[in-house]
Amino acid sequence: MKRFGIILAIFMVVVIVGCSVSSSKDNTNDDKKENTNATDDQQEEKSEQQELIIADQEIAASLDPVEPLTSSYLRNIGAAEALFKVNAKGEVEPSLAESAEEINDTTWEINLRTEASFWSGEAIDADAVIASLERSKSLDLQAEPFLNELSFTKVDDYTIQVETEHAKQPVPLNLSYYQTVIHNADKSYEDIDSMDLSGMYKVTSFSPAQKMELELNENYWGETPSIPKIVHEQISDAQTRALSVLSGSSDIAIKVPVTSLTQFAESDEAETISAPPANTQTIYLNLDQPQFENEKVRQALSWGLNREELVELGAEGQSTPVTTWLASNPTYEEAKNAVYPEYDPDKAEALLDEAGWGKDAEGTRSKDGETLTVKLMTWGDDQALGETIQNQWTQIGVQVEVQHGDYNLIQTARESGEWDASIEAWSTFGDEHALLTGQFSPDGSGNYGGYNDEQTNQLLDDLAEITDPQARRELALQINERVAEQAPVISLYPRPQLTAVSTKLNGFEAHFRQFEHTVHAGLSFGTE
Amino acid sequence: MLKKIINFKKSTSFIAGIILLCILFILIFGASIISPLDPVEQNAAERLQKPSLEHPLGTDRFGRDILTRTLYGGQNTLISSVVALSVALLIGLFVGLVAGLFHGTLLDAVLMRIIDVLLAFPFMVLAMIVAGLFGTSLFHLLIVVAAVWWVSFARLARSIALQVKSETSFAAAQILGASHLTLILKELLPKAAGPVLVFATFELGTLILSISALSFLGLGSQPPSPEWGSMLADGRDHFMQTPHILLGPSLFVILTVLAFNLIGEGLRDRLDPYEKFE
Repeated sequence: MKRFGIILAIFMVVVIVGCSVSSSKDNTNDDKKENTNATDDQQEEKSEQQELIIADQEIAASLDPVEPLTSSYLRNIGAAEALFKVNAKGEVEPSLAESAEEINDTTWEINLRTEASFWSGEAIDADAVIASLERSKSLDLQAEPFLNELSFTKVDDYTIQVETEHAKQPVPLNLSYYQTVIHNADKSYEDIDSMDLSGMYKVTSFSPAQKMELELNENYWGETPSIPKIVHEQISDAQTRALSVLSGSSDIAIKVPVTSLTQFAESDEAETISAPPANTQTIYLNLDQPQFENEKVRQALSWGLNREELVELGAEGQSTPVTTWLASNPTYEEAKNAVYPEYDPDKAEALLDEAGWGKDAEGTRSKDGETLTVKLMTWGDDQALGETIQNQWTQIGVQVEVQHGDYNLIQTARESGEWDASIEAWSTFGDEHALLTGQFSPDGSGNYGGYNDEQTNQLLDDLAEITDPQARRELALQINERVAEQAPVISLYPRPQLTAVSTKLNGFEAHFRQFEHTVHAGLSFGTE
Repeated sequence: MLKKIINFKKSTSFIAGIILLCILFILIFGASIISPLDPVEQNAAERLQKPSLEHPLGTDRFGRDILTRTLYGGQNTLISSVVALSVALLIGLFVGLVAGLFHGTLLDAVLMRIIDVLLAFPFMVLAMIVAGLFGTSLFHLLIVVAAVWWVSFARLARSIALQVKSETSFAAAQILGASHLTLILKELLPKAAGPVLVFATFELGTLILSISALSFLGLGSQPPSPEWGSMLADGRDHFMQTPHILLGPSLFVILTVLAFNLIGEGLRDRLDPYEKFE
């Protein structure tokens, strides 16, 4: 009994100390002042820091830029570059390309930098660039929307000509996406010794999906960075990532949870930086599943979502609801509530009744003995979102099973066809035709659910031909609304992106595509 | 046996454990009376509330009452742990006694090698493999637990069976022509049951911790069903903001494991003859 008493007493002490954390927060201002001197001392130490440690939710699992997302990670940490890049204002700038000129409606001429070379020293000339882009086009499904309608020919050693299938295609923008990073197509990407990219940092060690280390590329064509070494570490748990920056174990944590905002507000060690995202958190439905064949069921699922509550519970209130896919693009703000303007569970129930899915006494819907079920797959930080959707759909009689796990599980399920619904956020920034085709044409790489609507396809073809910006915009809005009405995907809200950055790091730039724009030559440690 | 049970009155550990367990059982299985709230219904307006009269342990990120979820979660954790342990115990006893009865034969060798392999295989890894192959659910987790946990019972049962086999009563039963089944049920099982049960009581505490740990990792109970481990995982994101969020599930896990360990200790004091002399 005595032993039990001691154990209980120890536990209670731990609990009381834990609970006192929140009350002690009020006293932190005084502590902060005292800490200022200590921080000044630390600044001196930090100015000599030799490596920038970046904690990320996921890092590359492969070295080959044509593998899914690999080029995104490589670009993010300064290892890879595309011909163009998009700056934080959304403007397209030359990168490995020196300039681009529109010769006519379907032809562009791109001049390459003569001073640029791969890590191996080989020139990044017209042949190398064309070989790289052709390799991406043939091997990377995600590159399709940006490269499929372009053909490349060599004009001279450092000039290439790009022919587009349709008039007025924004070639520099297409060639700015991470899926188009330039790599030496003649090399193998099986190991770090043979891989050959062009970025300011070279990969020196790599453990797939764990850690990648990079050092300065001495032959880099552009401005030389002041930080000699980059470490890109995978820390899957969002809260651990946030704590790694708060504790000084890392300097940047990408995608920290919105729940950690209060911790950073009270910290001198790090701060959070948020850039408005141009992506839409979307539920992709597998239209091959019998329960989703009827458009009314899909519409009911969209009407049955209280997006305000989804933002509150799934994104900690750090976003705004959107009901159509294109609406997260700042230039298409009017598309925000174009369809499903408000949460209407009654309408959702009526649509399900019309579709023949009757409700039983327990509130579950079924048809011909089959229960209306949805297996919703989530990954990353979307578990809370998944649970909120589960709760809302359950209220209209849909049984939902949330499966939260690694993104690979979703990919595997998609490949096998054994999935009902999954959540993902694709970028909505860029050329309307490329974006909408990628999402909603039958061959679109982002058309996971197999949406194939004759009228939408026709509208997409029309969009490719239109050159007048206003007419193009109106048609894009029309396609966007039609898709939302047919609901092969259900749009929720722009996924908030928070990056935690150590206060000792200077030069960090918030970018609406932060996941590929973290490292640049202007980063440095120490006092400014 | 009755005499032994009466003797337990003298064991403070045992009595403390039983009292604690009874209180926990009353709270957990009386959840619907103690708290009329729904453990899964979300209420965004009441999210992350501090403890109050209405919500004694506060609310979670979805506005659900933590006390209600803790109590209902206890039902999931306890029932699943007891079911998994019972299945493992039955398999372990049967395999161990059979191996002991047929000691020195090929059957014994094969069973023991299977046990060796399973003992060497990391439990967590197996749970992850099953989750990867068949998906994550509490049922799959219980299968993994039962599939792994029986081996320790089997080893103990076998060693007791080997001891019993050297006793005169066992030899007499054999000479009188008792069948293998009779030998197991009448001679081996009664003598193995006591020590194995004591061991099982200790194991139940470990099992609750393991199931909670795997649920914490997302391999067990799936949302919105409450379970102590998954509640702790859910609470991590808001722990710094609202520390009370972890109080309910962590307190109940600790007290339940403590209760089973105290009971196990009391049982060992009374039922294990060697322990008295240590």
